[in-house]
Amino acid sequence: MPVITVREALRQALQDAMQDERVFIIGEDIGYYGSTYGVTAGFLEQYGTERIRDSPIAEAGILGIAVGAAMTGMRPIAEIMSVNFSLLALDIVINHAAKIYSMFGGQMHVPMVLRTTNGWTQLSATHSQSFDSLYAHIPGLKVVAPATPYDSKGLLRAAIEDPDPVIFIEHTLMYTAKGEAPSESYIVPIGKSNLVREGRHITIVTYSRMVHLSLQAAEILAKEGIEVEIIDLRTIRPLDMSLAIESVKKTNRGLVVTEDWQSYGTSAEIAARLYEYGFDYLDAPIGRVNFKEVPMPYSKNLELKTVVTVEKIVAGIRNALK
Amino acid sequence: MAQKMAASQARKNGTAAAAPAAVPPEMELDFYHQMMLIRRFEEKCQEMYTRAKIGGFLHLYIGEEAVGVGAISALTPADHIFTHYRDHGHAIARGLDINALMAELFGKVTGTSKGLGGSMHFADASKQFWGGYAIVGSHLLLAIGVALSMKMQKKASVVMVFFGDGATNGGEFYEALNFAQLWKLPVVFVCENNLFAMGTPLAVHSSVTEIYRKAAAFDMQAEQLDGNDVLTVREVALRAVEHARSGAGPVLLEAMTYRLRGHSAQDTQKYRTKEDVEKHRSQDPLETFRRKLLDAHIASEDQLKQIDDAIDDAVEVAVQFAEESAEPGEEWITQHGVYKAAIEVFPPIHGE
Repeated sequence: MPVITVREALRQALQDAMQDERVFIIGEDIGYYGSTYGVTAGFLEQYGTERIRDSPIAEAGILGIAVGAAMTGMRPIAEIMSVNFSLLALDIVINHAAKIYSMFGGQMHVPMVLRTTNGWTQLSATHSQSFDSLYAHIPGLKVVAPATPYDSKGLLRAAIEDPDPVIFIEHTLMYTAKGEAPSESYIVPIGKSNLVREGRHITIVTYSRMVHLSLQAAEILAKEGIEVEIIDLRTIRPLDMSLAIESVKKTNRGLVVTEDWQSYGTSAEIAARLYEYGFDYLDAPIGRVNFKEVPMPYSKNLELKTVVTVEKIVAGIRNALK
Repeated sequence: MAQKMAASQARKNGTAAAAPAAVPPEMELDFYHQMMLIRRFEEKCQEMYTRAKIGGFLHLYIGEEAVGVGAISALTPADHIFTHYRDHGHAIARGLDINALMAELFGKVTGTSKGLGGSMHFADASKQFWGGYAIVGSHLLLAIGVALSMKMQKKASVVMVFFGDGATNGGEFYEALNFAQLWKLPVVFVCENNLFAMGTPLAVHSSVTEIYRKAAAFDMQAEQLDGNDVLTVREVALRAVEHARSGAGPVLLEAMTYRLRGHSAQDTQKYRTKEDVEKHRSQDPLETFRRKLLDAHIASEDQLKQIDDAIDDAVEVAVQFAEESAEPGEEWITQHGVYKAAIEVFPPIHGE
């Protein structure tokens, strides 16, 4: 299998999708600028301005247009450069995209994808947030956050094919991450978790970029004979906890690693479900490693103390094993 | 014929404009029928609300009927409609079945939205009536999405979107106008200026009180018109629809009208006096039109009474239909009611 980057995997999924005439891409700087993260670079020249729609900086408009177009036969892919900007369109996503199927008694549906990014690198407080739990809280949305090129390609294809609105969360620090992915088109189903590393001492439940950091932490501890099992959720709504719960029943210990604030974050829901279904098997409280609960500072030293690092995951594992 | 106007030529039609061109008598009687049907349907809604057959909010369109009936008469079945939470009039003007509308209000499965939406969310996808939306202003953005969709699919359909004066101050309005004009989308924006944003007077909520002038910032064609005269509304809307359909871009219409009832059924209307309402009652679009039909000998008192009586009977039938209909089943409160492709959660939420 070819080894490609996440960026290339996403490009391939979008190239496949563009073969369907109903698909178009709308977003800020996706065309003339050349695409902020390079995912749609060259698409404008290939597909033209009708289907690669450079948009004004108007997030509610971008997503409102996507909803309306999706209701009437198109398959829009809306790109919001940073998840922080998606807050300007929360009304459209939560009050409309997520409601239209149910509220109108199933008469219409909204097959759209919102592609956006988490991430940070000295971008300070308003450009470094994750709102995974916010979107995953909403009935009517599906929320996907893949970690690998293979999953990025297969899940993006699944999101575009899906008849419901899908929030597809990428990560600015992961576009160059490499991995194997077939060159042909394929689908990774939404709502299926994945066992990415086997171990018997503790289970890490995580997703997106934290999968990679958790794997690094596992490598470090493997040298000490600590065997870490890692479950990549891949989708956070619907949440597939089946592998995670089975794993905790085996290891009897769990750690949830997410790149967002702890209070009311995705780790709270994941940990709650581990307790609900794994309580009798647990030898220790479920641990959690997350952002420090502060607006992200600019200064590099403070930023690194705020985000999740491999060292913090290692410490979290050691603590859960005490 | 369409009159091509630059934004600088945006004009104020108002009440002083020339009388609209004549239409066939049967069309006038049809307009009378539609407006009276909306009026009697909503009077019955108020009654059923008082009797607790209808819950939630109830926003009546009484006094504004000429806008919906006149504007929607300018559309073809292939055109699209989006509207706001005060949506009963538009639904009836588009020809949605009043039995299904009353059933929706009663929360029954035979309702237009299976009883899931209620008063603010009437919809009928088969009539491209994409629904009433209850977040002020944001449905304008969905409407332009449909317009883009039609343009990309090379269909000649036009999208008409209704909203109030209160919706023209939020960012969505400006985003929608900019996108629509930038991409020359086939949209007719119909502002129903009833002089209040809920209970806040126009001059208190908008720096520019002539809403049609807001289009000038986008070089968009715009027109203010007498929204209480159904024939004027039709004539202006026909021009706007033709302009939009021709590919020349969107149009903003500002229909001056007045809401004769409160904002909702619970409104105590402290923001206006009884005298204000009485003054506007003399311009009630339905009563004015009725007088006109009689004065012009288009219909006799007897003929109009026959229409009225038939409407009363139909509304009674609708109430009976709604009463006798079943409630929606509990499948609507499972994940199958939330998603077109239902999600599966492991382990299931709530043990479902």
